[in-house]
Amino acid sequence: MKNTDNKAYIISDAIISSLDFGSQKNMEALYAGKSGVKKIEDNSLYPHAFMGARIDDEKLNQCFSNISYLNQLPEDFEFTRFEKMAIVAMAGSYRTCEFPLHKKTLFILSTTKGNIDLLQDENIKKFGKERQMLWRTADVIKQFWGFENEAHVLSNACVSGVEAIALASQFLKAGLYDHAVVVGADMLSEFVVSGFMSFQSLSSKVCKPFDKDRDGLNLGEAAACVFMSTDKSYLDKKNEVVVVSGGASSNDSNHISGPSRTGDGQFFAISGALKEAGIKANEIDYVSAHGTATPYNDEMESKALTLAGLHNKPIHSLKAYFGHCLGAAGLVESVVVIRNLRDQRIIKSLGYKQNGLPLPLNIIEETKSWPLKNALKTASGFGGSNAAVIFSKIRKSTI
Amino acid sequence: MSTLKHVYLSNSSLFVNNKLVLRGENPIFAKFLKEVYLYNLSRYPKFYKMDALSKLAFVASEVLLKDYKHKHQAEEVGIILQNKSSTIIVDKKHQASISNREEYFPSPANFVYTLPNVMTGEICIRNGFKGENAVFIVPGFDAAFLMNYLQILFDNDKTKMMLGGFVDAGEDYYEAFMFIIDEQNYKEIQADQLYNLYKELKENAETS
Amino acid sequence: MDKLIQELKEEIIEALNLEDMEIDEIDEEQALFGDGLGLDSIDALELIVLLEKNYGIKIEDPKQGKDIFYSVKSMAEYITAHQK
Repeated sequence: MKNTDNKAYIISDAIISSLDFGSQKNMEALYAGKSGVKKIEDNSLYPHAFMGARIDDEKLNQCFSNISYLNQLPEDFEFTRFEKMAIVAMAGSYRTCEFPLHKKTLFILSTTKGNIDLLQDENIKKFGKERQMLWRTADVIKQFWGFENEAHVLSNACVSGVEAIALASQFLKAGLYDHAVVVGADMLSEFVVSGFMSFQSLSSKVCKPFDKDRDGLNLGEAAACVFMSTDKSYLDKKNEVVVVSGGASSNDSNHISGPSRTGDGQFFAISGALKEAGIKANEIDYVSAHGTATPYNDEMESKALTLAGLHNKPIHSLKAYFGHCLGAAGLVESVVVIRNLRDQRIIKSLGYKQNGLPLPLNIIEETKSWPLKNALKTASGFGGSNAAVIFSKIRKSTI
Repeated sequence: MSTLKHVYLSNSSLFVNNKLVLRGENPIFAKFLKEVYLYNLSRYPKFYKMDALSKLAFVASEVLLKDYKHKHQAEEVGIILQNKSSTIIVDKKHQASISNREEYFPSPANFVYTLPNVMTGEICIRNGFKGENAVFIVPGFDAAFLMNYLQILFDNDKTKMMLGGFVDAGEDYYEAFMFIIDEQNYKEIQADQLYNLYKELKENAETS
Repeated sequence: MDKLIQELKEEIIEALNLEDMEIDEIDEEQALFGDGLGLDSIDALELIVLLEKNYGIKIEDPKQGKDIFYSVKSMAEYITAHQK
């Protein structure tokens, strides 16, 4: 199953986040420098106030009812909040370009905790015990759409989203499927907020990735979808196309919760992605890093990016806009990268003022037009996981 | 298939390459895991800190890699596992620690294990593996999808050696099937044969 | 104080899952982190939970932990001084 000449074209995408619903509206908010991170006072999430990025429930329910005509399950079937998030994001992509549901379409769900709020007693009564199992959750989403293939769930901590895109592109390039629908979602829950609180890794302000004063992350929730295909007939009339040109994953082999002290794990993922894309580091035009704003993560990334020879490339983190959306983060941020390639713009790294890294990086301080051909998206997570994916803009006349 | 080294652990039985090598005296999962750990593995205090799922994956990998020699670089060795129940045991424990506002003590040491890929992380830390990593959540062992992905990785020169398998643990069940595949033998392994091998081991463990 | 030290050793073994260690193997003056018992950052966070849960002592600034959790003895001294 060596890669064929097939290319994994990005056909359509969607984001729903604390900023807004829809890729275009999210990009407008990002270009305007808006942050979705706000003070949250909600006893059902945490006994005290905390900073986080939350999706508007009313809007989510409204959007979900607007797309109910797409539902292949019985009309009275009840969906969970998490499932609604994933489905609404997918519908955003579907309404731009209808993805096929037949046997040649691969469907991947990327998440860390899915329906984790269903562990609460009152929810077990409502939805049953099995529903929080991730394969079952994915199956419900599959049935909403009526995909012929089974759903595949990738759960590799905070790198899930980036890895899911890389993985789907591998299956397409190998010719095993013609199309792939990749959705990533994770939500704010009492489960996750209390866990990160116990880790003392949350900032009490809007987070400051790569900055001298960074003191922790903000949790966020979001869902994003990417529809890719090897079938050129799906391409629109524009002359330029974005493809997934390479991807890889790796492990730090260092500590289950502490990032690598050398950055070599992340470096291996970047190297693998470059190798598959057939380009050198100097051909990367910008990097959308993980940048959680915890002291150790950002330090590790400065080492990994320096090892890879990318430290002088424009680099940002989007965490101060969206919060850290865990298994959805890599997908949301990849959609931004795809849009940046189309718009030929780079976005400032919100929250950054002064270098706080042992090996300084070229952090983007101003949102501006910038010539882009190849862009790298990276992610790292608990368990020592890393992933990297490269998106490239190519001319239609060359394909 | 004869060249595929594999282990299977369930129902207090440990099989290596189809042979029953340990029949646990204690039917309790945690105690059986300790028996396997003490069976022939070197001392590794971190073992006791792991959750049940990581312990299960860890002992399976230790038995599998014992006496297995290879010369690959760290970044050329990876691990891809499937799992059904994610981290349900520690998830419930974490949920219980926050369900009462008066007794609200979430444990960081427990919370860190609420991600299924921490089991692959533990195996990588132990063995210095830095290559491809993934965990898929499946309703049951999906040999076809796993083999497709492994073959893509080998065919495109992304790896030289991989651990693969299905590792799952819940409150009253546990099962681990793990194998080593490398650039020499990966083309010989057919997904349907791999699935049949798994079924056979499962039946043997149930009747042993 | 001796009673508290013994009690702490038991609690530490249980909370940190040091299943292969006996109470007598922990020297109360030995360093818990680094070369001593070899505890890591998650253990440090777990010790913060232990102090709050078992002794009602809340450590707001995790940087303080370095001195408090230097050894079993330093933990016992801190508890004695701060317990209400």
